[in-house]
Amino acid sequence: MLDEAAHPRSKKRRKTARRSPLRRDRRERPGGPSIFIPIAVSAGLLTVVCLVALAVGRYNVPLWHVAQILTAQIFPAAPEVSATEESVVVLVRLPRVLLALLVGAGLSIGGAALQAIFRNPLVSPEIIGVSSGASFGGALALLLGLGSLLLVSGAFVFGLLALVMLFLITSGRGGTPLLMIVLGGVVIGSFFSALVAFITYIADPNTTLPAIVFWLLGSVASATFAKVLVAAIPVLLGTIVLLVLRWRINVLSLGDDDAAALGLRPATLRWVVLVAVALMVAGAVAVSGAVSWVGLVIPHVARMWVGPDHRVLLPVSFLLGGTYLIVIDTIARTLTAGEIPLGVLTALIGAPVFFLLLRQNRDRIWDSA
Amino acid sequence: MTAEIDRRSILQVIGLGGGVAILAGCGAGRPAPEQTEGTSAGISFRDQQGRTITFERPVTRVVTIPMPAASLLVAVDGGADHLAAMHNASWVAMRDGILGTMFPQALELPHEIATQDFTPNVESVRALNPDVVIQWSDAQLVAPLENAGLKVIGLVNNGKQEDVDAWIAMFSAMLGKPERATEIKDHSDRELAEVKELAAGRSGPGPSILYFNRFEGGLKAAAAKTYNDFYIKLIGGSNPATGEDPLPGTGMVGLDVEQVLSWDPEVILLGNFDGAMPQDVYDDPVWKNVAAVRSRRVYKVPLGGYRWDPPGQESPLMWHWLGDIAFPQEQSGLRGKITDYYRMLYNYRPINADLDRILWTEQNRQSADYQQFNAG
Amino acid sequence: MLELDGVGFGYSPREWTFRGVSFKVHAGTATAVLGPNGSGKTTLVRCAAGLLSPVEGAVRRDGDAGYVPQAHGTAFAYPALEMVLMGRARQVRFFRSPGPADRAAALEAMDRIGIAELQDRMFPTLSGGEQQLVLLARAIAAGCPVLVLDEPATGLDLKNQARILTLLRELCSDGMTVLLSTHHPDHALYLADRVVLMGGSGPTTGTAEEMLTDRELSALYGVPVSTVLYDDGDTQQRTIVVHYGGR
Repeated sequence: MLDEAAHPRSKKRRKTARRSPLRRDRRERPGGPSIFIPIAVSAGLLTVVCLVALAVGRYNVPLWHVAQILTAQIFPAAPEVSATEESVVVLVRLPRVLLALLVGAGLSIGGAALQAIFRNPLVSPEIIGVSSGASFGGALALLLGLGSLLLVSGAFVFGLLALVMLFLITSGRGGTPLLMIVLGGVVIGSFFSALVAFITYIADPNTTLPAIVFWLLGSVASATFAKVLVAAIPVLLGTIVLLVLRWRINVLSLGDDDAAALGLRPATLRWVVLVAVALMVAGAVAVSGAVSWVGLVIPHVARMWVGPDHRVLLPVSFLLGGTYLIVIDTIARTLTAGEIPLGVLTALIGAPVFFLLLRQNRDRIWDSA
Repeated sequence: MTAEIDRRSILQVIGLGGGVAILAGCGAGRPAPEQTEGTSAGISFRDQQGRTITFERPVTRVVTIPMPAASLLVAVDGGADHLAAMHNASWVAMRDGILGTMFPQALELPHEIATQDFTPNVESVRALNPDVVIQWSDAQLVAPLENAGLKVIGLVNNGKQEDVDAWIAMFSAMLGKPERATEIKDHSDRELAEVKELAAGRSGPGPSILYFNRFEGGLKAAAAKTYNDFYIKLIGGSNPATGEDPLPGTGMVGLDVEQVLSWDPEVILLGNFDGAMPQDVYDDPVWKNVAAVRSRRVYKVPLGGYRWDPPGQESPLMWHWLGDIAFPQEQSGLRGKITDYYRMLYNYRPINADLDRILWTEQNRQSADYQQFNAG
Repeated sequence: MLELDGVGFGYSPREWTFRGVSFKVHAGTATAVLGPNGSGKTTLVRCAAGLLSPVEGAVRRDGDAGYVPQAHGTAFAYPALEMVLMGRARQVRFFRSPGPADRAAALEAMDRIGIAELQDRMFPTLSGGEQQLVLLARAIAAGCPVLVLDEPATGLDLKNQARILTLLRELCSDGMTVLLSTHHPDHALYLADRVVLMGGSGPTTGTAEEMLTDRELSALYGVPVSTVLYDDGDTQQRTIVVHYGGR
């Protein structure tokens, strides 16, 4: 009955279907309006939020000037705005908005894919240990005082190392039981968390430790176009892989047995998805530290709206995740003259929202998980 | 882990002289420790929390755990002979700074005695058999040492000059050199009066000055109730972070670049808590339209026996430096003042290379009017 | 065609669930696996369907097997039609979604089983029997020459049992190779040419006539069982009666 609530149109459709079960095919084809409406709506929402985020900030740039500056980026013209206004919009807000978009989108679509392959709506990117691995890599780079390029590489290398460890823990005869992956993820996550704790223990409290603590809290405050590029490559690469596999992820979400019976190779497919997610998480962590909750809350909200079909759910999660993090980050930089750490806000907002979702959907979650 | 970091970062802010109001309650209106010479043979004084500390004879073996305590002890003592061990962070600062040049033997001292959040390794400290351990006044940090039978002095820090004065008074008392406290205080008071007089004699408002506690990876500026805010206003400047559109809260507060652009400060100070240098700011296109960048008035704060950003024994030199930064001279007299002050504090005569290092002369060369600090 | 040759399986070394199972299911015929609970029926059909690799012996099929598991819950609520469409996973190209042809095949499969009206219902909201029928439709939509079913009649009412048996018989006569496990000897009697008994003394195979006798079945289940003849219109049929409460 809860499913009906989530899919209010199903009742009506069923009536029509009873009358002419085969005709519906012609009316509503796969890839028809039911798939494109939510995607179009969330894309529209994202666009609006992007524009609003570019228009607001502590430095007052009139809306008309923002429009002029943005237009001038595409159609070269001489806008009648001050150099500061232009640098605020183009060099401060734009990379920040793009970075928030990529991080939020990547974590959300990654979370949605993980929830599918683990067949559990409470799974998040932290669960496979990649976030912790990437955090450690980044913290290590900060400890050694390496540059931002190595910070990113460190997060990548250790995020992927966490995944390789997961491979080693779970590999063996007769495939990989799901439980082993979850347990392996917990083990690896704890291991890297301990290493991060060790780094904060040995870090110089005057110089590197505040940097590490700040970075671990999660922030896109230091966004530059270079960082945007660094995040864009893994996030978009992983997104493409997941979108290509969108329907196969549906099949995989039925469970290994069913997927195998339907002719897929679930273990292989799952690793492809895991690597894609690891890539995205490592990229996101590298540029923004650990931004928690996004990968758990957004796919959940998206699923309540569009249902579990990953052909719709994955793109919608991507778009909503980007929208959400832009909104949060805009709040973080505009609410007060000071900067509120992003990770704090995502947790402060994410945890209560998730609490409400859990309460409302208690029965369904326990039925299915 | 989170709890640990939280506590650690809180302690850090305190330790960095960040002027956190957490301890404001016990800090306000506290009398400076006074020598109570009731007993004829021993030493007795009150610490910052009003507890009476007594020693039978002047201490000779001191273990310091708070970061600024080691350099302060060396300054009060005029040497490193009575320092028995220090926190690793103090040791690293000593190794990399001028103090290691002045007192190379101090670098041989044990320094693995406490974690980064100042939790002492009680057994290591006990094994050193010190006369007294200097620690932050946090009960969690003090109790384990006291339980091990050690005498502990807990330092309270609100990021104010009065705290440093109190520390100096306690250190000089326990070292049996109460006249040192008076000497240092007198010097400090004289400089304070001079700086105030200079400020009063100037016509027109000073520049707006923004101090960045952190610049790399995320901005943090000195907001209300910080020592930095105190000396910016002392020399006649204004701190936009405590102006009309102030940062929320107190201490070092994170902020967005846009807020800085909106304030458009005329002078930017880069602190010694990260490696950011003026060139980094000049090179970043985001900052190119800020007044301080347009007029090349971004400066790295000097680093002497201890950082000049938080309150310390060398703070009077910071006041003079900042005064000259805000109101540039043809030729600053700072080098001479540093030389005098260092003779008084450390009994050391810095050579020109030492002074260049303290003043970050090379790193500040690109900035406006910094040639005023060049050697004669 | 589906052939098992000396197949043995165990979940841990030297602990065999069964060994030495050999039989051949020809195209257009059905074979039933009978046995008490825990005798390894499901394991055997999973080996036959290729979901488990046998520890010893070999399984040969002329093509993939469509597998119908026992009805189970799903983590996410997909509509019944989507569930059936997933049967087309073999036909759908790697980076595509099912197209109109797949949709037509899925709807045809549902229509054939007579569950077209369920297509928009959410799978978890269906009754156990309806879920079983959807899973069967999914296997049919897959279009494989071999069909392996794990207790397909479990949880179905009499009408749906009859429906599924009739359907499987039809599929056989269309040339499909069918292997099913079941708890109903009478279903085996109706449908199967050959029978595999997973007894305490190891699996035995034979024709339905040889295996479905009073003696074999009573020994297999440990309760008295009789086969009886009855008139079904103008033909005589056999069915199986259990003497509840013993004799």
